[in-house]
Amino acid sequence: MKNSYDCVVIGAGPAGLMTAKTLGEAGQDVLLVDIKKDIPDVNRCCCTMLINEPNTHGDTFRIVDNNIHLEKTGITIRYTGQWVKMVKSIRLTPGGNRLTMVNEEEGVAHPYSKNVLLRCLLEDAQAAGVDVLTETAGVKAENVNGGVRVLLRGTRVRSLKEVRCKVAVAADGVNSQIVKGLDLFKQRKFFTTFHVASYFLEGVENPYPNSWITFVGKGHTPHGRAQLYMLPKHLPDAKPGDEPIIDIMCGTPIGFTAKAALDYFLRQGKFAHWFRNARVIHTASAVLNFYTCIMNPAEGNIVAVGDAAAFIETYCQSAMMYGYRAARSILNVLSTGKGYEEYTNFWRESFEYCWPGEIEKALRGFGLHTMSDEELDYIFSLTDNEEYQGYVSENTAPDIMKKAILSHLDQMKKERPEVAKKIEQHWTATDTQSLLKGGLDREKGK
Amino acid sequence: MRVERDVCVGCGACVNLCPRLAIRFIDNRSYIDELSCIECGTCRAACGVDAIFSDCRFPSLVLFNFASNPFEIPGSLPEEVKLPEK
Repeated sequence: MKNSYDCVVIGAGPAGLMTAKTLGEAGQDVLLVDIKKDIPDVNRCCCTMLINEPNTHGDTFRIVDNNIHLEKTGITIRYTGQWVKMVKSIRLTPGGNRLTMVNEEEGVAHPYSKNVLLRCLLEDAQAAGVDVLTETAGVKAENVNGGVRVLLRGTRVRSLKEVRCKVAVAADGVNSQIVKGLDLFKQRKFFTTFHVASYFLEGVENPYPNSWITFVGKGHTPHGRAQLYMLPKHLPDAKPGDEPIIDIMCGTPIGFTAKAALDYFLRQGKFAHWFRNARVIHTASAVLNFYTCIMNPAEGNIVAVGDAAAFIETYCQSAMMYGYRAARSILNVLSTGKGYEEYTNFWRESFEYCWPGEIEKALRGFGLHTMSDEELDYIFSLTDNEEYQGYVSENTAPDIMKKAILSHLDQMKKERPEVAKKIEQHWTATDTQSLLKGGLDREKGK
Repeated sequence: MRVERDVCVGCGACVNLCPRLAIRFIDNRSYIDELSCIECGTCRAACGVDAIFSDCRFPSLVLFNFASNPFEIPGSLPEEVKLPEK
């Protein structure tokens, strides 16, 4: 390790590795810093799905020759692991009623192994001459005359080190320590803290193979404040033809324990019989602080990429895309001296939560949290035998669900007027009208 | 505070939160230096899997012995508080 570099990248997740790899391949002198000992060893919860819906974060992600291909950015990211093609996205109430979205041809999403992805990226980065420093956390980055001063602290021996560089990249995730020390951070609004715990399970008697399952309703956990998701996934060492294992994750607001809620769901929940013979093979956990996005993720020569600049998450795929874009922009700055507008403009235009009103819309939810389990069971019993075309996504899936439920509004008004009233109250008249007419901005590709 | 090393999954959430820099991250697991720890509980609140617990240097509830209290009104103490027998 030297005392000065062209670029220092803090955090070796998908965003940081991609940035370091791109900069390294362009001949820059790069230092990559990470808190872990083994970078590909993932202990944080992550769905790690390829969202293959067109126009996700301004690009379309496809699997080409087992690799990840970004159509608009025009790059291919090497991936040597196994894929799972999920064909159904199911929302399941405690009573067992469903709302199903299907995509037999393309799949609703494609889970992959984050370990394998990180290993591939790390190998490529090291091959490109990137210096990798493990067991070290970035503490602070500050703009000084003619560059950036980065303070690093070892996680084993807690001593401080100082590195000078021309450009520093904060890629240390959703709870970014580097971003906390910047002026940019003061403009962010804090929402809440979430705890997530997840298990990789073997031997689950899953009646819905190859499906993304969202458990809707309060009856799954004692306090009803947990969000539960389940998806099939391959282990890092899976061979072609192996059965995928199940990744189940549970998120709770601060004040509740995610692991306790998840254990309750697995042992005493409504679907405990699926997990009678299941065995835990891996545990992961995460703490997420929700802040508004950084609109202009470049302060002086410090650039924030991936989750560090985002509201909640950018997905692994988009983190890599933003990492690549940031790296191209940095190379441009280093050669021509112009600013980071290319990257920051792309960030503002492509990341939905930067747009006004989007976070409020996401936090408002679909109004289902106001319903009791019995009412939810009733609503989803109407859609139980139906299948809708869709993807696993934060953008279009909620609208498809709203549409599906609203198409039964007349029947609901006859049978359960109080439920219909609740739905109408939550989704204002204009929302309802535009949805029924099919005039969704998203569907027009706006 | 102490870390149950078998329960800790190594997500790293607590490491940079510690105001005393008492948490080390060794072999992808957290380790708390008890001599530096001030039992503030920041790390415990951040843990998603309840791996961090207090060794109870400062008990949260102190039961005083009111047996000799001259002002004691019979039946004023909650039932679960057992007074020592003389």
